[in-house]
Amino acid sequence: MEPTGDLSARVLVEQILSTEPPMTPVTRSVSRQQNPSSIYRTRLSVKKADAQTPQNILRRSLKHKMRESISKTNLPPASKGRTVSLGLGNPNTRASSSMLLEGDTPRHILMNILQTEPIKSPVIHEGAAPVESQSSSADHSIATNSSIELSGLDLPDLTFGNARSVAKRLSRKRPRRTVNVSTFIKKLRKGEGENEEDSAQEDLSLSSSSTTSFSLKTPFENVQTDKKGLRRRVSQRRKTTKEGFGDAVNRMLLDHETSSLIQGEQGLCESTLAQDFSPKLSNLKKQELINEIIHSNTARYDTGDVPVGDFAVLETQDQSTVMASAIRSVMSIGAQTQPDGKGEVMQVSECQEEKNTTDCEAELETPESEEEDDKGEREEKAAVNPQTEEVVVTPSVEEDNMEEKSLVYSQTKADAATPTEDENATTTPEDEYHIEDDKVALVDSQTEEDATTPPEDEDNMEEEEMVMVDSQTKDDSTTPSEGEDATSPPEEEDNMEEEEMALVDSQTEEDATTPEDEDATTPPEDEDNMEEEEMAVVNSQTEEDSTTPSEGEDATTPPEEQDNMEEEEMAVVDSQTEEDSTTPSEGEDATTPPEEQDNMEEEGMAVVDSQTEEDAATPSNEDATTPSEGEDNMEEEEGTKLPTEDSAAVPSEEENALAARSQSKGKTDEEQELNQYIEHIDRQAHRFGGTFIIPVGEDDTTEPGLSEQDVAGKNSLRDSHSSIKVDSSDLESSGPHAPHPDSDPDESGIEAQPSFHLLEVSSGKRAGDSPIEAPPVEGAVPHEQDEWEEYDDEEENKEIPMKTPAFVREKRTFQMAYQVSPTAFNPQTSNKSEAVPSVKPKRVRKPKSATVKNEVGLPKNYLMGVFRHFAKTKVSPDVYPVLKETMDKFFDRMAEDLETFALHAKRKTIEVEDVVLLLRRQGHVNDKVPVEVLIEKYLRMDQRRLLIPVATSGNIVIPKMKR
Amino acid sequence: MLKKAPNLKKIVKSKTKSNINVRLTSEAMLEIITMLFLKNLAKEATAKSFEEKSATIKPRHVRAVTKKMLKKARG
Repeated sequence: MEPTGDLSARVLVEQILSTEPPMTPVTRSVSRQQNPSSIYRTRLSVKKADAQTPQNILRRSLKHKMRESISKTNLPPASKGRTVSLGLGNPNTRASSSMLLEGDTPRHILMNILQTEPIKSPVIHEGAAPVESQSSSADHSIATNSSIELSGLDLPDLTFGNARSVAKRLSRKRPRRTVNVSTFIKKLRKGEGENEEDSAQEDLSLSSSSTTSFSLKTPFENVQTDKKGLRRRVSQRRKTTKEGFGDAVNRMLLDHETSSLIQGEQGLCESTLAQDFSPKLSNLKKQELINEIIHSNTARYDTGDVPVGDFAVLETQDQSTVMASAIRSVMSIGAQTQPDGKGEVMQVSECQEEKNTTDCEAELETPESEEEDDKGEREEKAAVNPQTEEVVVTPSVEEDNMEEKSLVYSQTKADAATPTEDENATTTPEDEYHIEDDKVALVDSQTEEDATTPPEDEDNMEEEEMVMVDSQTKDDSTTPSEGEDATSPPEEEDNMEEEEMALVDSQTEEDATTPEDEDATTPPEDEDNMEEEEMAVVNSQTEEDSTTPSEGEDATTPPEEQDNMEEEEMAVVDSQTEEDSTTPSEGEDATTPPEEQDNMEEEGMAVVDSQTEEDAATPSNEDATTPSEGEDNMEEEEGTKLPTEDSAAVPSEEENALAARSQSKGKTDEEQELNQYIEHIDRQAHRFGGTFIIPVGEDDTTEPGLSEQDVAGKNSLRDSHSSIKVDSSDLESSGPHAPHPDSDPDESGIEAQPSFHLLEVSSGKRAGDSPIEAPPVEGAVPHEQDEWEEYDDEEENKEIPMKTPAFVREKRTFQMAYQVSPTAFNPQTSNKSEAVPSVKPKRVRKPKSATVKNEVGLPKNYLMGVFRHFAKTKVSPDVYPVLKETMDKFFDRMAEDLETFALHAKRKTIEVEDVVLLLRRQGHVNDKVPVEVLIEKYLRMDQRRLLIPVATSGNIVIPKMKR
Repeated sequence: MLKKAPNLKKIVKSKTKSNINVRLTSEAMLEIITMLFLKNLAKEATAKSFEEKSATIKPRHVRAVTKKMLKKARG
């Protein structure tokens, strides 16, 4: 019986060993499958041979397995043989030998195990526990099972290992083995192999002897990858605790780029990920990507000081990130196709981007709370890292080609943001995180945006970069919005176009319009805008950090500036909030708000530009245009306010605006103007419906701004809108309207349009808002009225082809029909309506005051003064109402009593004796207290003279004594 | 010293049902009555506020005392 048991055990061990070596790296499911079979065999044999408990048999089988695995693991480091076949052969022999030598009979083995188990069990658990947690976190139940089995196996191994040193070795190696067993290996195989190798190399370079052992083991392909994954975790943990990741990453980047690249290449060749990358990217690119991945991994590990479970998550994240990074890198590389030096810089930036994106992706992939928390921390850290990296990169860029590198950097960031919808969703939170992290993150986002914009237009790149640098430093508050824009891929593209095209681009972007048309339409405008933007940026720097566009406006027109500033700021804040709320839900929504913000800024810039341009061109035109812009803005704002309050109020506002304009014009050609307005409104409606690219310049600019503002902060901006309205009216009156028919109709059309936009906005269609926003920029671009007209015709034609939702058009058209009639008829009515309400309150007030006087009572100051005087303590002012009420009752009764007394005496006049009687009845005058005492006590001298007769010289008594 | 209570004559005239005159001297006496009433009211209110351990006279204190004082002021 015993020999059979031995044989069975041996056979099982041999089988397991034979099967395991190939299986171990790939999957343990096979080995497990085999294991149960072997266990059954052992059970049968044991039962037949000995009546030992099945538990013992199981333990034996587990122990055998563990021995085999231990022997295998032990052998590779010792032998350092890199070939799997050698490692496998050695462990088999050793295991068999150990089995034979130590455990001659299963009974002895069992006895040894039982004796040793309690002591060794805790040790094993300590070593295995973390591994198990990792495996569990790894999401694979199989992995957990395998780890558990391994842990069980480890115990017997310890027993066999007579010396504790052996046990220590086992304990050290056990986690690694368990890791190997875990399913992490599969993941590692795919993409992490490269990363792991790189990280292992980094680890070695950095520190820790443990890493050295890993390096030795690295040569093994599958097993190594598995072990590496385990080792990584350990090493990473140690690293996190010991060293700062940022320094290491920076050092690695700067110094060991070449080495890392080489290693990365090797790892790529070995790992499956290399296959993925190889077809897509060149070797250099791969190396760069590897480096990036390494950096990202290190950063994550550094950030993640978290438990083992987190590490498993990290691994998963790494895989996903690797994939995403690969995709991104491919995208960026394909699109950019830049030189290697530039590519490196790009890669660095990409690494940063990848970190952020990977974090987001990891979050998406693993919704576990722990992971999320870790990620949030990591993201913050990553944000900090990118800043540092950016700093590093920036000098290099300065040294080399500032523009090109910055472009690459921006592109990489944009790529990271753009890649996919999922990524977009992830990116938005990143943006949020950046905002939260602080303005620094915002600065980064700004840089990203800036960088993104230039690559598209190399010509504008230089100017834009300059502006961007200024904007970055200047606008801290605005930057977050920009960052948000940068995050959304379409937005990034839009930003690029916007910077180039200013207004037209944003519209085209959202509507998926063609940039070619935009470029063709507004090339000169772009240049002008660039210069103007720079100016505005400078102004903004000096003036405010929150809003650049407003600053530009300030430089041009003080009243408009203030209004715009407030509105813009509010809008920015609102947009941020909206973005925050919207971003998580939908990537599209998130994208739209940043665009709005961008448009806002652009609008402000455009306004300034238009003002400056007008000033330079012709004073008459300038005056007409500038006030019209201010008016338009005012009207739009009003319109926005009104829609929120009352939809009906909107037409009245429009009417008012129209009336003001008509007054300024001199009431000439009012009918014609009205007709023109209608036409313009129709045109504008068509434009808006079709596309917002309409070059109507000022009108468009004002309108989009209004729409955006309306959408962003309807509630908060009402006050500012009112003030703006006043300003606009003043401007209109002051501004010498050289009544150019063209300009006037444009203005009217603009006015009508804002109201429409407002209504639309109120309806709550953001899609419509975004297109609306875009047109303003375009409008800002066109400077002169003649240009406007020309552009209008052209743009209208273009606009029609542009993509615009049918429902938006319908709404606009309806609103147009609505507005046209009221606007034409109602300018006067609106004025009347305004005058009436102001009068009413006055009338109401007067009667109230009269009634109060009629009621009459003691004045408050006297009443309270007397009361305080007699109270001799603090009297709260709240007492007056009560006191007044009390005195009213008192006077009622007193008057009644006095009247009755007087009437009783058949008099129609209340005499002193009536009052004295009253005092007597009230108890104030009695035998002890004569009236004279009270009079002397409470009345002044002039009153006393009247009441108390006094003998004067000449024996004259005044007053006369009645007797 | 306290200022003369204004409009006492007007108040009494407005309060009276029939058209009755108020002599000048009686107006001074009316002031005495008013001041005495206010004095007693303030005294009672102060006592009430101290009763509730409040350093300041609050509306509730006055309201609590009003009924009693008006009853005393009956003619």
